Amino acid sequence: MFAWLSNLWHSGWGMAAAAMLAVLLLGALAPHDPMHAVSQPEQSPSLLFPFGTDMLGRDMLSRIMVGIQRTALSAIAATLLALAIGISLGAVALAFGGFVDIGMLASLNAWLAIPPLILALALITITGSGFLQIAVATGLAFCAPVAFVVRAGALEVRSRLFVMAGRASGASTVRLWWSHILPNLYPLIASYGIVIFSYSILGNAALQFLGLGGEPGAPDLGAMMSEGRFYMRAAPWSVIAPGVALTLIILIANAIARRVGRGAH
Amino acid sequence: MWALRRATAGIVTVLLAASFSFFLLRAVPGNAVRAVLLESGAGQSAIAAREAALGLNQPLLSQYANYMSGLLRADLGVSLLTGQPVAEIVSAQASFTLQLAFTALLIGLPLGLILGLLGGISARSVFTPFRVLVALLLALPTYWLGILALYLLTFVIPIRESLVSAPILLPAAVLGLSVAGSIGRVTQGQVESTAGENFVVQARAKGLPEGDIAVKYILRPGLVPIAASAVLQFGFLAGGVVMTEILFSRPGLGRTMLDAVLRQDFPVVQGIVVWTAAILVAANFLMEAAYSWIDPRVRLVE
Repeated sequence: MFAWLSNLWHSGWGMAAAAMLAVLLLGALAPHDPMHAVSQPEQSPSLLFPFGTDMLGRDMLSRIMVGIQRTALSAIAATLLALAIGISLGAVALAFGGFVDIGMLASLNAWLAIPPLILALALITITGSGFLQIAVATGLAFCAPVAFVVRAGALEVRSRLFVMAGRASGASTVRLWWSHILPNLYPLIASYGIVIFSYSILGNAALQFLGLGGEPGAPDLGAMMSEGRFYMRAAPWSVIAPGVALTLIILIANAIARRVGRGAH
Repeated sequence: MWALRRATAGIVTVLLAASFSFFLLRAVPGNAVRAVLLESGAGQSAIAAREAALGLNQPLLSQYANYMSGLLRADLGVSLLTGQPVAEIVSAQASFTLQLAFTALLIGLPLGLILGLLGGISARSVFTPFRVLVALLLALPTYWLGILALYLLTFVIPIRESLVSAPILLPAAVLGLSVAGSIGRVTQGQVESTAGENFVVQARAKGLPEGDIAVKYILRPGLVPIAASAVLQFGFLAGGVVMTEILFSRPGLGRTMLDAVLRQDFPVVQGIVVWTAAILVAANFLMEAAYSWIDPRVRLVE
């Protein structure tokens, strides 16, 4: 009876939906105010405060819950941006071909030759620091690999018979891409998108750690680690908890990507 | 012929990366000169004079032409703040970063190979500890690992004092663990796909020791992708290990990059971008040249 549910879970999409739902609910379920002191500072974990309190007496559990939500949302924004730009660039390169393709490939190679964190830092010089800004910088930094993957996938799909049939029946290039080639790339894009998501999580958290996330005191996982490390002796949980949360998000995202990817092949 | 084509493509890549960073960084209003002089209460005329001395008042395209022609002479311009040549800053900082990158690779490469080999061979049961370890190493943020290592060695097992004589050891070990994660995953994938091949079964049937089979028969054919991932890792590390350098208060390119970004010192940001692109391109070039030596089946033909 629940076979379809089990199938959904194993295909990765059920797992992705569950994770998404959890992310959306987490912020609302936080038991305490994550931004203000609710108890004495640096209290060790107890029944009332399962992850203890931080150096300012804020409830760590609530901060982690809201932090997971914020970090995941900023990584989703970065991923969507990387996908939108990457897919467009990859499609345009291949659709025009010739010098456009060669020029685009050379440019993408140059983009790819700069390590992502360095690239994101350089982009922050332009966007400035802030919650949304670092998501934009991370998204732009990851658009080149997406473009390469989309271009490679489309190259294969384009050679298939139904695309040729579409062209023979007089479909325009835009229509050919929109309703024949791209839909066949969705599984590839989805599984690669989740990989980009887990890179974005790490990238965003790193930028938050460096203090570029804006809004001092906001419960972002990277910022929490950075602030907490100076109080490590008295309140080690204020660094351990956000790190465990971050690692869990990546592990879950990688598991989903593996399952979705398996379905794509 | 192959080398010439590859080298040309590589140089084009680096020049394009330099051009991107040039135009992107100039899309923002303001620069370090303006920010610093305004803060110190200098007048508009003083700012204009300083900008003129640095060539910042020229039209964008002539600034670009100057920058690119300088680049060909390995002249990366001067820092807007200190006036020090960027090439000098980069080469001074790069030596610290390269030391760290090499040491990390020295620790991470063997570790990743061993973990990947052991995890790949026992592919049957998903939850073998080695596979879990590789997945974990890939998911752990390096800087968090670094904080935990500092905590453990300072408060729990206080042996950090004894590490003072070799301050590179701890950051390199932490970085090495994350390198081991990436290399472990590639190795694991390669080993898994080779372990079931007929020549492996044959070697086993012949009665060869398992250790020989693992290294000479299973690991050997998959070395090219593993080497490629190691080179990519090294390129990333050499480009500035921002987080590790900040966490362990080490000098280096990553820290310099962050400072330059925060102060809008464009030439320095640009110099580091060009350096990272160049090192990655060069590393890839050398690696591709070495492919046929690593794996005789590979021939460098177009």
